Amino acid sequence: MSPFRRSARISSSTLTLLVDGETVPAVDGDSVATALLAAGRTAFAASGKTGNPLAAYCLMGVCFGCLCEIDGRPGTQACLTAARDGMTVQTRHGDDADGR
Amino acid sequence: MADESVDLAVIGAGPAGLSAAVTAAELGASVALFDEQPAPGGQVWRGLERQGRGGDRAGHDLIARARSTAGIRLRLATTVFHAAFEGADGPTLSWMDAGGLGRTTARGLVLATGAMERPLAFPGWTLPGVLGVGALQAALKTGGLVPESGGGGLVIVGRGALVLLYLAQLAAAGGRTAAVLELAGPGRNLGRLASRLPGALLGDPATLGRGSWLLAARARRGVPLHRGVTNLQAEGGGRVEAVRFTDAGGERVLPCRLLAVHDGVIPNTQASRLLRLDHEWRDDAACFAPVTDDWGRASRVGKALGGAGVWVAGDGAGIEGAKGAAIAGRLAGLDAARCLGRLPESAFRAHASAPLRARAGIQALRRFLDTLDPPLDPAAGLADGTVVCRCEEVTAGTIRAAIAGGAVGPNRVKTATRCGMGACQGRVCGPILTRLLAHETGRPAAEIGALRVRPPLKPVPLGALAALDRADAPVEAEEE
Repeated sequence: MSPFRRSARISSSTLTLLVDGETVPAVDGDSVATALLAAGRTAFAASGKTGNPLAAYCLMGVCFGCLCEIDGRPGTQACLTAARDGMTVQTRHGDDADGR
Repeated sequence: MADESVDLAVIGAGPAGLSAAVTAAELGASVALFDEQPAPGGQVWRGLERQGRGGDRAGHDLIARARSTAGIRLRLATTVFHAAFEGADGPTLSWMDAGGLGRTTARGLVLATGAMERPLAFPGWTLPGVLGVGALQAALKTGGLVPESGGGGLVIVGRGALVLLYLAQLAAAGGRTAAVLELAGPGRNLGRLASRLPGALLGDPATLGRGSWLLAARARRGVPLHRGVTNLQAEGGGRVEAVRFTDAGGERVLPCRLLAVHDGVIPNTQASRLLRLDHEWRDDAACFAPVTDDWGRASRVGKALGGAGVWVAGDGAGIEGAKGAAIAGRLAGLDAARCLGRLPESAFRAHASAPLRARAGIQALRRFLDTLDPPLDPAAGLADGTVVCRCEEVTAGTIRAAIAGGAVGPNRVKTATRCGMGACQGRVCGPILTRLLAHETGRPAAEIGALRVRPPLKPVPLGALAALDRADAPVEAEEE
């Protein structure tokens, strides 16, 4: 379950992203990061060192916690990438490491 | 590879960068304006264009002028990954956008890279669901994200202008906050506060009035407020589920699904440090900032433009807020136009006097606010088990052991522990590391310095790195 909901001012979802093979709805204006957070995907990776979930912290390009592979481009900051219909996003999890 | 040559390159399309670009271009300079976000506006005017006519009018005006001025090449969704001086020429920027790599050679460069939230480490701050208050504000502006109230909802830790502003914006969007925690910090210097109040009242009464209104609005909404909070800890398995802390009433645990943290903002100095500009430690604001003059001219001037060459404008040169940033950008743009031969000295003086006066007032208010809410020391009481470097999961204890073993500077700690070596390149942990070193060695932060920034500014594919001129790579002695 997501810790967020959409404000009433936002019109309903019009875009669809494919995230780790699952469809995730997004709205016009979303960054890839806000679309993932709205869908309850708050962990963007599992640490290779400890297995702990790694998360987005700043949402403004500073912390690099939201790095994803987006449309085949690895190491892309999801918070700086505008969501577009049909985008393919791969988080840095093995299979399903976060508790979503 | 795209290759272009312009009079002025500007990095950052927030208030300062937009203002600098528009000012210089309207005086006839050719300008390339870069931003890594898909739309102009920076953080404060994020999503403004999509709001139609609503929101800040100064922002709409600057964005419209940046879009319509013929001399401005607006490069959005573009990552500048390197900036360097080549020989006697001006700065050269290497960048990447969806179309590939590019290089822009300019006669002058304005850095308008803005601010970031001052990092604050505590047990559990790496859990998913713990974010900056600025991050939640960005999520609200970007996708209309409002915290759900189930499971304890949102708890905010922090104080200052951004917290008050976010509380008001969240309420307007139909959201609510379960509680606000104010961490115990350094005491206010009441004498200094009193001495700075008149300047603030005279200097920027509109902003001061707005702040007071926001404070009153928080009180009206009746958000539970916990003061003097210590022993802050985020708890949960895989994501934040509760916040534990101590206040005057003893130990408390509040359930939450989002924990938002804020202790003011500091200049984002990644690009100014890459260029090896001189920086100074500012005690009041507890941060490093590049040394600049009234026009924003930085110390490192190269040989370009007869000794000018680099300006730093806006929050990246010291926090003054959006209004101050737009003025600083205008001053930098005017000075750049003067150096480029587009503005005679007499006209420059005439144009610059009013913004200079307005900016002095804003700076007086800022000095008052820094005294009203003195920044916390992120290294004070930092437990050994607490993570400092989020990317490489390096704890305070590991860093302390390295310092005890002789790593007495930030770059040595980096080599010894990997703190600052991860994807964010030390942006988040760097400020904490400097303060931790100050605590452990008993030397002032000014003397400790900051992590050295090396190219690339942002991680890029190997092919992009190969395009960098190897001669740019700075060769420097290790710190003593």
